[in-house]
Amino acid sequence: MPAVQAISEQLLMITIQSEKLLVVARSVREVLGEKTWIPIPGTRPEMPGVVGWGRRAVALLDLARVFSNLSPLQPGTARARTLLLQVDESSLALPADTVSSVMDVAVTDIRPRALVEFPLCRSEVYLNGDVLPLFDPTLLLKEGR
Amino acid sequence: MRVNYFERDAGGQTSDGATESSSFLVIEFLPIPWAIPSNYVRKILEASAWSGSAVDLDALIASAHDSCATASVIALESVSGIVAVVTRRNLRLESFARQSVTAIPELVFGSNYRTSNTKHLILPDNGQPLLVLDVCAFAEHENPQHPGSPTLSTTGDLAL
Repeated sequence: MPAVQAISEQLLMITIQSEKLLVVARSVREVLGEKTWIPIPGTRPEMPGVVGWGRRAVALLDLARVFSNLSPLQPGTARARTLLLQVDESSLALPADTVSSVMDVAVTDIRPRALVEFPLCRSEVYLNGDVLPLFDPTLLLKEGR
Repeated sequence: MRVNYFERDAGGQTSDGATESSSFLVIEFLPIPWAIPSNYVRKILEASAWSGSAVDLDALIASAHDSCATASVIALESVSGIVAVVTRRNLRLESFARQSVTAIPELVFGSNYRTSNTKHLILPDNGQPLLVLDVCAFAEHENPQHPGSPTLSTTGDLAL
């Protein structure tokens, strides 16, 4: 029996200040509200601290630190939404200003990265006249090893 | 080295030997206090009573300005020998439930993980989080070959 090819992918759009990007919905474990975060000294630049989630400390990913034109999160500040992502064995807390509902995007609109400059993506998505990066957190985990 | 903060801690044991809580020396840094597992704390004394060298913890950690008037020296003993630290922050002893101590994901440190001075966090049910000083890693940086490790003539209790 031939393998069934997906014709669409479920994605969420998030905004961080002026930037929009897409996240694969199946990697999102929860969408929480504003979460205070705990700065940790000596971290890698894009993960300045952690978020307490129950008894666990979850790595905070501030994607504003990956874009050159955005203001990074400062201690004592937060964003309105926090996505909890599950990536392989790791969890990530990703603060965002807005999170859309889940969208079905045709796989033909998801193409290898060619135009967008965001470094943490392998693909870009053609959506309503925009070309947006599809955030790939596995690139981040790979960088951190 | 991964540290089990509880293996040498005799405090708060249940009848079956499991540790329910552990005691820490809390140093009131802002915005986040630091906690030193008290089983590594050999002695606390006024700075004027200490003749050896001491690492200035405030200079390493401090990001705010209020401090107490009297400098304290804390002698920490680990496998790397004794390292003394000096601080002008307020100190207190506090116990936290064992379950409230959690590892900071290695991921956030990237290649800095091994040398980081903190690898654990205390997340109390109520109250603010605290960073746990990794005494072994800290002592290894500050006292790599045990040069002139100060010796203590007494083992006095924590004098808070």
